[in-house]
Amino acid sequence: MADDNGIGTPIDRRSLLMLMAATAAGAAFPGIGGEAAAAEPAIAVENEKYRRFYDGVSGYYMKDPGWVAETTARLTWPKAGEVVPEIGVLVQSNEPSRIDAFRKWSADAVQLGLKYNVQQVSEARWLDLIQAHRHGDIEVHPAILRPERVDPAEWLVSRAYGPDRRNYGEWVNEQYDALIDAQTKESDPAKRLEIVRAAQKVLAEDLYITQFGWGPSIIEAYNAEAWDGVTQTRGFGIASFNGFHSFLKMQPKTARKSVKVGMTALLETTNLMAAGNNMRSIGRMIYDRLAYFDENLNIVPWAAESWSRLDDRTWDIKLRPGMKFHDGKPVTVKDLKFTFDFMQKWERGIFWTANRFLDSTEIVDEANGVLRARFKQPYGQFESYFMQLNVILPQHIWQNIMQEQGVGDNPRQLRIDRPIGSGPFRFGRHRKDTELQLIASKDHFSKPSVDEIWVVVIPTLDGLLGRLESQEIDFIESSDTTLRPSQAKQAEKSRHIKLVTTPDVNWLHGVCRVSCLPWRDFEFRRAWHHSIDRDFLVNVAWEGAGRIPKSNTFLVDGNPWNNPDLPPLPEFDLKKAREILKAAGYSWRADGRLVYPAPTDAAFRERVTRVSKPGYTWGGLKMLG
Amino acid sequence: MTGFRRYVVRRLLLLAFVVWCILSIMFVLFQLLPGDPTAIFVDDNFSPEMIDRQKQLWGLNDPLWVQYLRYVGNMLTFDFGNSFFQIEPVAHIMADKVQNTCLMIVPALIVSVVLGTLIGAVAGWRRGSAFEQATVATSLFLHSVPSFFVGILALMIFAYQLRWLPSGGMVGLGGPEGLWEMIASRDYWVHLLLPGLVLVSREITGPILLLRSSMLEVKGSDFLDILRAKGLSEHRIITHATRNALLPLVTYVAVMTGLLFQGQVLLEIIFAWPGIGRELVQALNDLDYPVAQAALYVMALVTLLLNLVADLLYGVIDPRVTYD
Repeated sequence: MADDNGIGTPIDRRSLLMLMAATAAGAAFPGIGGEAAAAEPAIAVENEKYRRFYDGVSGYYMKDPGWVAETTARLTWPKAGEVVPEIGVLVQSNEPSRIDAFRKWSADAVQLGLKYNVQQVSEARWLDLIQAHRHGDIEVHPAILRPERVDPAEWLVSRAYGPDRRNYGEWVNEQYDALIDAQTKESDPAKRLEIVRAAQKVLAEDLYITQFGWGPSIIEAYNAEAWDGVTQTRGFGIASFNGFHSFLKMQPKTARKSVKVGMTALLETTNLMAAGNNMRSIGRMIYDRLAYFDENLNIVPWAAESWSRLDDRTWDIKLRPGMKFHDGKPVTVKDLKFTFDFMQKWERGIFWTANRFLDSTEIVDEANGVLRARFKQPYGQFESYFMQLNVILPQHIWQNIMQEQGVGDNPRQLRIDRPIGSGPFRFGRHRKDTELQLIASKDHFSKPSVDEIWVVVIPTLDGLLGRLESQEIDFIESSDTTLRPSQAKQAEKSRHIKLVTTPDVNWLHGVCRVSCLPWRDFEFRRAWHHSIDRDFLVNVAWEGAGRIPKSNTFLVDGNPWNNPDLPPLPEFDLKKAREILKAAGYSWRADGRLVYPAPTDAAFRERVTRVSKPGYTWGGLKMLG
Repeated sequence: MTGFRRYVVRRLLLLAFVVWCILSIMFVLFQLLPGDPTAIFVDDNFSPEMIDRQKQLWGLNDPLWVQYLRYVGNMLTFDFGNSFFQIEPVAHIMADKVQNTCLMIVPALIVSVVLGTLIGAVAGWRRGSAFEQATVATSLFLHSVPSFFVGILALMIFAYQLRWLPSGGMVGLGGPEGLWEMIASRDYWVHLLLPGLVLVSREITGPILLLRSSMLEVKGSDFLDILRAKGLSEHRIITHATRNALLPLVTYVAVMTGLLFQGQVLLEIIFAWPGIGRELVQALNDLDYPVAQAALYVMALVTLLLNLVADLLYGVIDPRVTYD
């Protein structure tokens, strides 16, 4: 790791650019920031165990002069008569519905004396700024379901857990973090559900996130003259390679047994170890996972016929008998053992998170294909995460591959031109960025009724719709692409096209920068929540394709881990918001801007110091002075 | 050293300087580009140590000047490194994409130049005729309409509505794969028809308008009177006049080819043609710096080289041009 003090070692690019931005070089490159170099930061945390998160990464947070300057200003007690600063919001410029929604919410917020500064930025810039926690006051984030997100921890941890760098609002609620730690270690699914529900309750009560809308809905169109028997999978739809039940069960209505699916992009790589979204989803059809999920997201056995829990850190996994790799070789428990050994020996790419708690594996019954997996600590994510993500690699192909290809210790660099797995489809013809043939494996235990899938690249949604209308494709792959109601209505004019809307568990939420003023004040947060007109987002910006959220949770209604007893969301009521602010000591300047309570207001100081709702403990950033 | 050789050396030195400038500007631009590439290609859950290891692997932790020198050296030797995401040498990716782009633009270019020359010559020769007026009006119209608009329109009419032509791709599903196999197949030519026609509809206008103007100048030349006096047919006289009017077209075609090479991003997207323009856009979106850098560099280099060729050719084919 780079030397954090920056002395005696080369400075990395990011730090150099930030240094330039903070010094005279900023004049030469005004585009890369103009923050003044911060003085020695005096920023501290309430609970020292969280300090490493803020000062442990070179170029980020306490080691980023820009972050320090911005944060210092917001951790300084306001002077008498000081107005609440502009609320900075960063929205990706390719998301018009979010921009429209914030236009409305900004206009509404004027009645509270708040002024928004909504900036539109590119996807890359947005990602860079949120990861540096330099996105302003509200981080706006969508959630689209992926198989690994069927497990509740993916969202509960990444978006709200104190020590996680993706906790963009820097919320550190010690009770919440304790529950998250507990659910990770709770191996009894029923008990884990209780803990997960309790964590959701803390999250909702402390008003950290706000759910703007649940959705957008998964609206898909397909060629119903050619295909029948499509299967709707909750959260995925009918034509997602992540939830591929349709492609196993659909029946041709004509003599053609080859289904054509359009996608905006194809495989960036065919190496599963270095896979991005598309290879991960298509890879699920080529490499069997140990477990899968059914149409209602319940975990079901897949390549593993069954599993049994021996204690809270040990499981026996029984492999399904009779499976074959696509080259005809049998799948054995030795292959499974080899896969885990491989993942543990080498840097593990996307499988790192799935296996980081794995301690060891051993074959306990070779004849019956039973492998024992032992974890380093009590483990709660066995079924919904570990079994969902892990694959079976053919040992006869992979055992010497690292040495043969000379990629050192980095399997991400492997060239796997023709992936061989044991999944329901085998890798056929592939022309990069153009087409991919997936041939049905007819001896698979869940054999597809189609003969093959041709995946075709059409880079735009308009192009996909045009090809669907002209019957050049039958489905639009829906991992990343769903239709707006107006587009669906247009598509429906073609006689052969049928529309399907699948219940989703998606959401769009905002995370306020709760570590800083004015968000540290629970009463301010409460008032602000009343200023969000969610109906506008769902019924105008999303054209009605979504749901008005019932509560502030990541695990929304329809998700098997949802807590149905959460406090309801504060309704849109600007009058009530003003009353809350007034009661909390806020006032308004002559020009209507909201003014902080007086510096001598003990209740305000107490709320800002405490940050969390009474009853919870704040462990994050401290006010200065 | 003769004047021509001196000129060639001077032009080559200038080319080298411009290439160095382009490389340096690109380096600075990519440094200023928003987004930390490691943020894209590492998993969200990676620890800082793992992220740092990835940075080391890609040389992103080296001092800036080391990165710069390594970058210039590599670019000059066409060693573009490996793509962040595609796990293959960028040079392979570039070769593939350049070939695909050429498969779209070269036929369109040939048709545009040949047909444009003929139409422009006739229009210039028959000045004031209805043919000339119609040609000029149509050319100006086609020149003003953005090609992506014509592309979408053509797609909607000929592919989606009438279904006469395929809507995209270089060949149909499961079509021929190798370069020569593809060129020899009917499938490729059918797929080329729509994007090719859209390209021709715009690119043909340059040669037409240029030849027409050039022809008007040549038309009043004394040598044509001599040819007439010799009793040559109208057809032969037009041929002679056209050959003389062709000179400005040489420079134009070179420049046009360079621009054509780098300007087909939208058409490649509309017609799902996996060329270098689409690759560049994808690489910029993904922050795949090696691919984006290589794509920009290749595009710039092609334009510069074609300009050089035009400058040199001009002197070779026009004996009136001297270098002393």
